[in-house]
Amino acid sequence: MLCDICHKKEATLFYTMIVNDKKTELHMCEECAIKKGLIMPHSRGMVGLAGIGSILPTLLKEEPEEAIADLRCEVCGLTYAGFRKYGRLGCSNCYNTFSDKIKPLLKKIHGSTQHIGKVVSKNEEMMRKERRIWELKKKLKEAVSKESYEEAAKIRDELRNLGV
Amino acid sequence: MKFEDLINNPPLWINGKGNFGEIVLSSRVRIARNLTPFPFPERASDAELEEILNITKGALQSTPSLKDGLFLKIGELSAIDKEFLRERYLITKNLEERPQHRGIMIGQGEYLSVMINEEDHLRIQALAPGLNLEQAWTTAEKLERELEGRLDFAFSKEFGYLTACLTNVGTGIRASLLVHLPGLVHAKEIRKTLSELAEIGASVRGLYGEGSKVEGNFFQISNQITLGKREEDIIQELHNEAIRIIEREKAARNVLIKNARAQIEDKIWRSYGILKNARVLSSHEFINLSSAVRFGVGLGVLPPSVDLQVLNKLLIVTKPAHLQKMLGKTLGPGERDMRRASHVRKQLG
Repeated sequence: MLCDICHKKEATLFYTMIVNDKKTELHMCEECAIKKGLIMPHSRGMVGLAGIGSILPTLLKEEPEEAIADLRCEVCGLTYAGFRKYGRLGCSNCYNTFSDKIKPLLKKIHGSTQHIGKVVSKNEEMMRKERRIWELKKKLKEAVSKESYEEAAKIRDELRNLGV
Repeated sequence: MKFEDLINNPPLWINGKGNFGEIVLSSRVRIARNLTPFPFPERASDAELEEILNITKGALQSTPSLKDGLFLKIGELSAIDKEFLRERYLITKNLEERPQHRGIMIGQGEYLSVMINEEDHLRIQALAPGLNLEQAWTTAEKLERELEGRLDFAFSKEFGYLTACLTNVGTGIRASLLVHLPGLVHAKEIRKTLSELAEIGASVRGLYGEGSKVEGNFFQISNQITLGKREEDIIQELHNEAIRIIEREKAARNVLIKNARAQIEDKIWRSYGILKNARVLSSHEFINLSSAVRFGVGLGVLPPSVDLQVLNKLLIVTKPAHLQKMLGKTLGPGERDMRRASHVRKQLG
């Protein structure tokens, strides 16, 4: 049986989706499944049966490219298009950057968008501060290696203000 | 603890002594955590991955839960050692295939272990024999609490513990059970039972987790939902689901015995006969025959020397890398099948 997406390669992966009570069967080759972000290129493992059923319709629905092109996480550089492609987020800040995009997906996967389990003892403000310090240290290293000492001095000041 | 200790001693969670041991091999709880300033492993640089590995190693080694544990850098291991760890359920294929800057910390008896820089920075894994998710959860959570004072976990009030994949976010918990369901398979009720699982947000996989195929009537069932539920409720719900499946499996076995006792016993004894006498045994053949023998142990038709502990142990030690590590030399596929056969004969007495 040939892949339903490229119609060229032999289909090796079989998915059954249930969308609005309608059952659809999809046969794909590994390459197309990777392209659709359903399996990781290195793990060859599935996202999870229920996970696929719920993520797939959303991922397959082509959103207009211009609407998603400008969303980019400023900490790790992941774009929304990149997230759609690989199906994984790049860092904890991606949850802020793509918050609006993520919520409908979470609702589909978990039936909820709000955590009610155990909480970390540290507060979020402290974590934001730590993240900022880490970013600044990274920028400082870059500035020094580029010999832009004026910029480095500015970064150092900011770090000092943060108590480093 | 040394690598040799793993080779010479099977993991303790495989002892077959847990609740409903004839149906449930093991209970597992995995907790995913990430460290707050770093990108997730997939997007972290080599230097960052190495830093995460070092920070985490130090933190793990200072916890009471993993005192005297074994820490290994996956990148420093040979191909066969990596395969050995995967057969042992200690590392994933992902870690085996991308070993650089990855690590594993293994606790005494292998009840507790932590993968470093898998899809998330930390993957805590706790195991218990039979149906005992609560014990696995308690073990994993104790370590998680010990680490909370030593590491900064990425967390948001809204989404909970943040993970690379949206399917793990919130509690970061994946509870799973390795179950043996020959009764439901023979009665052709397995599809129905498992499709009901998907409706309650649980999923089913093969013996070796994601992407692996179902063999020897073994299934892995786990929770799918990680967000919007409390940890204890996730554990309890899967436990309740397991009880329901166990009852169905027992009922299916009773019907089979009632309708075809002679044929069932014949199949069990023939399978036992082959395992006890074969000179060449492939991995696939072993798993399928041992499924019938396991069924026989549950029914009490086989000699007492064949017990769950022996069968569970064989499931692991007959894997290719285990056979070779125990012998201390490399074996080709044909030699492995002979070695497997002789090992099984010896163990079945």
